[in-house]
Amino acid sequence: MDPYQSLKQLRQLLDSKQISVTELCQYFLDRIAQFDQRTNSFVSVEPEQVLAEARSTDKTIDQGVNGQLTGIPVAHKDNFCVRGKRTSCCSNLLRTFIAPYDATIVKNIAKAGGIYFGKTNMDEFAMGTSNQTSVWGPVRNPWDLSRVPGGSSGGSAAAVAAGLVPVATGSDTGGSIRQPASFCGVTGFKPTYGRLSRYGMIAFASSLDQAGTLTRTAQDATTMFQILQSHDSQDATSVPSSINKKVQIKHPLTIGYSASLLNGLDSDIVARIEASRNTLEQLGSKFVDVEVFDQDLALSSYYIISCAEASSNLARFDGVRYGSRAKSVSSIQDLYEDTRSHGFGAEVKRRLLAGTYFLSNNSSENYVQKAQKIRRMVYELYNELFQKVDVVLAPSSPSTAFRLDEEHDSTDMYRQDRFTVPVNLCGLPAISVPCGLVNGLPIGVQFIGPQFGDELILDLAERFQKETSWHLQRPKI
Amino acid sequence: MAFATTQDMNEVASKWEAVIGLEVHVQLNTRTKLFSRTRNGDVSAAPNQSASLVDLAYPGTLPVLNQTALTHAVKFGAAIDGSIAKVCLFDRKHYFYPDLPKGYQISQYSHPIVSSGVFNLWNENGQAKAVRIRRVHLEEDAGKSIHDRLPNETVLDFNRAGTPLLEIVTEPDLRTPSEAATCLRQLHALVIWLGLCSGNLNEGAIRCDANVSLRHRGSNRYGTVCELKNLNSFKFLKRALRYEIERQVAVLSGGASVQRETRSYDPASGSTISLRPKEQQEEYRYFPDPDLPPIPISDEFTSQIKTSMPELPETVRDRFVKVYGLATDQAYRLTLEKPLAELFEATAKLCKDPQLAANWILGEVIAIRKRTQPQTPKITITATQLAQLIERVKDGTLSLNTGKELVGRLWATDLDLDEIVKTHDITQISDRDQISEWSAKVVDENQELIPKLLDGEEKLYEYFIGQVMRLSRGKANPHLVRQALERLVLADEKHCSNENDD
Repeated sequence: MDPYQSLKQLRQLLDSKQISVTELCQYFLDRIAQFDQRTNSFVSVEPEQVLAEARSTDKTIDQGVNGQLTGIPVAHKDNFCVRGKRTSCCSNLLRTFIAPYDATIVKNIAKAGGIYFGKTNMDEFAMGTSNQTSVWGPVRNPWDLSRVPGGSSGGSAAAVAAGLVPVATGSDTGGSIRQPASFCGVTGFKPTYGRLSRYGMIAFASSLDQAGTLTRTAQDATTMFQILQSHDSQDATSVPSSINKKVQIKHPLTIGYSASLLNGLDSDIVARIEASRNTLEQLGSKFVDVEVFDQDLALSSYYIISCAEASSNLARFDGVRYGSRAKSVSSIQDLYEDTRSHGFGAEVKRRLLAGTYFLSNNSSENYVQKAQKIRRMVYELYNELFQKVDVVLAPSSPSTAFRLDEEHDSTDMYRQDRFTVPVNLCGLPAISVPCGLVNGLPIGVQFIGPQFGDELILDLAERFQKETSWHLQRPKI
Repeated sequence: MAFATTQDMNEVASKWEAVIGLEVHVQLNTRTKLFSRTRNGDVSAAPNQSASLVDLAYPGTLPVLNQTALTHAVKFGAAIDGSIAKVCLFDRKHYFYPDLPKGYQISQYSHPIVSSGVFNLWNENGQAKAVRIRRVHLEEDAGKSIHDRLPNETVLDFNRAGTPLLEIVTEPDLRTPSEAATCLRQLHALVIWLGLCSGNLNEGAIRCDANVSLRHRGSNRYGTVCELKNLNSFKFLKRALRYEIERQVAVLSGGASVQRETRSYDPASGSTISLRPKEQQEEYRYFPDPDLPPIPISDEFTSQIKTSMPELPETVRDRFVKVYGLATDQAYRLTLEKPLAELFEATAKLCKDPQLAANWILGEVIAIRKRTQPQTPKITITATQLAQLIERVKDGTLSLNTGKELVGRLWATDLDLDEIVKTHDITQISDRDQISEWSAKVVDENQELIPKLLDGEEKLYEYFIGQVMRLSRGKANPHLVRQALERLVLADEKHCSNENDD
């Protein structure tokens, strides 16, 4: 049994009865038991319940019931609510929180027959780029256990990279799927804002958050996207089914590329991006030079908006109705203070304080309103760009995975996101695919599509992966 | 702190003028809550049983706007001829309070759904006054903190959380407590008329805050405002304002200045109590709610609502005066409630006597409703029943008293009036011979009172009539009884004078 098989291969194994669902699940459970002490990519796995579900799925398969994911293990990032399961966002504040309902994404996967395999580790409330802020401890990169997997969907990326699960969900607010995908050598897809429901995905920054997937291949990402996308009447930002979402795929593609973007990057990384460009040219794509928005400006805009929204979204964690609650307090003010002081970690507090400040009367004009203005400018620039090109090519991350013990100050860490945040500011679809190894560590390249160009970039990524084998590389764990 | 005499009051009134504005919160009677699919206004639900995961702000849940609430808001906007926003936008208003589940309230700050309308107020003297409406916006209600259920503990009930509210903010155009109370009463009447609200004040369906300041009469500058919270009945509003105006007059007359603050009215003591100073600029960290994308409000949508609007009370009022010749105060009272106005118009058409119809409705119908069902404003007599009744009293078939009694008997039934009259033998007796016979008997039995009657003691006639009515078991036509009695007494007098002549 090979743990790195695609969904299509697993489907064939199950359909041809070469393996039962129970056997398949047992196999992955064994791998988790064997390897996850090293990576710490899962924060909850309940083998008994997985096997019970597997056994009952075997029976339904015998009865001829077959969904696209029937019998296939799927892990969820710990910010997706799964009914009856601990959904902690890897925060002390929610360490005992049992979700009373399923997120729409979780429902869609269950409907397609996927086996819920457990929750993956993440940065607390999805705030981070290294997966070091989790209350359940950091995740280690399967390619080098002394290194981070990226974040915030680090657990999902590491789990897929280590062959512990074929697919995992993630969420991407400023690069939280694509950057860990780049660090772990997997395919990370962030769809157009609104195409996957946010209902039941615990909010970080509502206008930027988008659910997505971490998979072995672009083809698997396509399969998952077909299963996950749906109009959700419980999410007012969900794209109505009446909107025509098809972007015509016409070849050859024109791809926008900005060489200036690569300034200051490690020359080996630049070489891998240039090689990706060559591959795409061989596939017939035409490249044009484009100007992209000032990254640092976009990054500032992103941090102001995301912190402001986070300070609002996380106000509900007050210890009154659910989650951890401070004990022996004498006033309601103390209850709030103690609950939140002990419940939130340092990075979350930093962002909530900053966000609260950004929204206050005296600074909103200088921060939030300016940030929104910049956001509109980025949006307009990309709009114009997509009049001229079909796809934009960009690095997924400015570096390969860094070491856990490296000292980074916050702004340094925030700059990790500079290639990914413009996509979230504009609500665009983007996919990160592995494009090489640098000093034995994976690095990814990003295809950014126009709004609703999800199928377009998935198709491009699939064709890219037909020509390359980087996505097939495996860590020696 | 009451003023000793009316003279003091008049002196004060000649010197000071109160400037009052209202903020009225109207709970909309939509089927579900403003942003969730939970049933709205389920007063029978046990605590926290009418609160869903969305209402309780469970992690991951999202708000979705109830379209009916939006329609209601636009309807109200059309009724006050306000300008309707082109886009419906929501903001988050942040503050921490245990009964506020999300740590923010979804409200409309920068773009109220309705702005700059006019509410035509009818004063007690029947004159109209235009009260400008500054803004009307949609927002969600919070839960309830209950402090007196357990000792030293506060319990929370989130059933109310997420109830749609329409907040109506007037300009400071009101000048007296009773004018403010009239304004609230008519706003109350209007939202019920439009079908937007149950109007049940006991259940908090309409809640009112008032801003009040004083200024020297003749000045056009505004004084320092105090906000009075939770004035949830017309009476309390009036009393709280009276108290607060007196308080402010006392402060200002003493040479001190009024502090800008929020005060609460205590019905038990009839006074207002300082709650907290009002900061010049409150820190709510408003920003557009990213979970609720802007919803365009098309002109078609607005004009569709406008054309489907019921006739407004003021229009109906004018018609009642012009077409039916009613007095303005009668027209006003009949148009405080749509069912009353409808009953009047239908009855007036059937019995062809608008004045009588108005009298009966404003008299007996309202009285019987108050007596039998003080909690529900429903009217359970049909125009057909009432018109028949009016006609039968008019043509003498029924006495006025019997007629009044019959309103109660017809109430909440589908009985036919003529049927009741037949089966219960209550037709008025107009047989003159029979009435004369009874009258003669009464006169005979009360001979000693006749001189007093003759001396012009008119009240005694009522006693005599009463006696005849008793004999007839209430069925004699009182008009004919009086005629008969007068005839008999007159005959008696002649008889007496004849005797004297002898």
